[in-house]
Amino acid sequence: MLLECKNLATGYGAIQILRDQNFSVQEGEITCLLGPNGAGKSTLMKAISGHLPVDTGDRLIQGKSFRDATALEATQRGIGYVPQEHNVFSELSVSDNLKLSGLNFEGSDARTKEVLSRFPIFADRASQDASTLSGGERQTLAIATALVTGPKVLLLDEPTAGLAPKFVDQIIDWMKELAASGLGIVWVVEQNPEKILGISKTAYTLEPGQSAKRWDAKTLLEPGRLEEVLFEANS
Amino acid sequence: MNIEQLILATATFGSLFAVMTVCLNIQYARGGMINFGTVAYFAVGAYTYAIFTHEPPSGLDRYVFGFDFPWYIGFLAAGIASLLFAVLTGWPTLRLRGEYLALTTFAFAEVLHSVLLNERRLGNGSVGLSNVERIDFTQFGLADKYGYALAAVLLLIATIVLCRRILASPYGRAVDAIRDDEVAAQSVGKDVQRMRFEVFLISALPIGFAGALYAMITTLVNPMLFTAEVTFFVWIALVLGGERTIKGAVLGTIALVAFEELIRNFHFESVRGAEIASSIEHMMTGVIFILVLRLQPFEKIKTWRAAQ
Repeated sequence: MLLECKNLATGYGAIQILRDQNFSVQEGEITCLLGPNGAGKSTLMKAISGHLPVDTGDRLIQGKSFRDATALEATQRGIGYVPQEHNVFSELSVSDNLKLSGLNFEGSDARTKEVLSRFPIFADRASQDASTLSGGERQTLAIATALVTGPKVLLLDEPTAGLAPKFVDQIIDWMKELAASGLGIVWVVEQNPEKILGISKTAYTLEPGQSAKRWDAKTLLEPGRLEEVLFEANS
Repeated sequence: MNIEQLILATATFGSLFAVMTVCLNIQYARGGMINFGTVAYFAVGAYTYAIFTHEPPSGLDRYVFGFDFPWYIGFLAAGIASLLFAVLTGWPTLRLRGEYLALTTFAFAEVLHSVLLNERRLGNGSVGLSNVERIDFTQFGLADKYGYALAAVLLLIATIVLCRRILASPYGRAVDAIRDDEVAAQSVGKDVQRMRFEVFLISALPIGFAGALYAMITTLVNPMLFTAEVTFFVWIALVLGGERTIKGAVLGTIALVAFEELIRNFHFESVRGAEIASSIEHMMTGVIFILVLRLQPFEKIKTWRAAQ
């Protein structure tokens, strides 16, 4: 098992948002996380990535606990996290965004070159401020900055929200390739769930105040099943 | 008005205070830390220099420490002491943000000021230490007034070179990233707390050296020389010159010191006249500060240049 959460509970200070969450990710697989607004999907991502403390339970990467790891330590252990917001340095250039993300991470130069060859637009706009990029380009850059740190697991918090279909397809193709190369990916989904389920092996649905339910992603693609599950979660 | 004196005083004190402004520029504009206790690091540098080079106490002296070291040992000790003071104050405070950090650093500076004022065993209390050891520039064939102006300018240049090198490095990009977005910086594995702390320490070192040079120039260290007014002077200079650039920090400070020296250089017939001029100087500084904040001329110049 690449990533595992065992009976994990977390929250903001005294307010506990999630409790008793069991969640796992396999190497080379895309796992998606679905649920209504306020269910705690982003909170779970923050807890796994060390941006929120683990109150009880544990989180493990390749069988080793990193329960008390800070966000920095979680990144060093191979957790790449792309938050929904605050994911690029808007006042820095595209090139600086990539360079500083790779700072102190072995092999980051090669990974940066790989990203630049895949997205020549970043090479063309290397000196341009990240704030001048379009929404899709910014999101792509955010994923790229997480990748140059050489993660084992990539946590994507709604990476395609509000993006043009061109960018959504581009990111989906990219993630499929990354998963094929052995990376474990967790994808928080709000929009285009069918598309993401189509490339996922496992799915979790999260309801407010309850433990996440594990599904075979394909079963949720059966006609009417997804609506049924999400409606159940909303009601 | 003595033009030579005006230029020399502006170069000397302008450079010394510009060292502080440049360091503040690194802490605030690049590192995102509001330090309202800048004067404390300056005072620690000046007092350390004075204590290390001063003769041991004798007769009625109330201070306890005086090591009578040569000036260069005192100068080095000043930088190191300022650095250590930054460790002492930075470690517990740098987890704080914005106005909380500002208030805490301000409190630290006030506590230090109070200690210096009341603890006679350390720096002779409110009397301070006088006849502080000076470098004799005449042995290099240079009059002292030129020697100190040159030393201050050289210290400023060294500080600018240090800061430029740091900011142009990958480390500098990471510092910018932390200011830009701490969450994003943590997400790509940057140790926000450690980097903020390091920036704080790096910028304290030149301020300590500036304090030592200031003590040599004035030949006196006294708590009244190191009040919060110095901190606010440096902040005003930073805002006047534009907070994001080293050039702006230097020009803002030089302009403000030149303005003060200009007023000081007028010959007044009476004490009352000098007092009124001093008050006008403070009022004018305030007016200029408000005008710069309201009109933002430097931002307009930058926008105009970008449009060209």
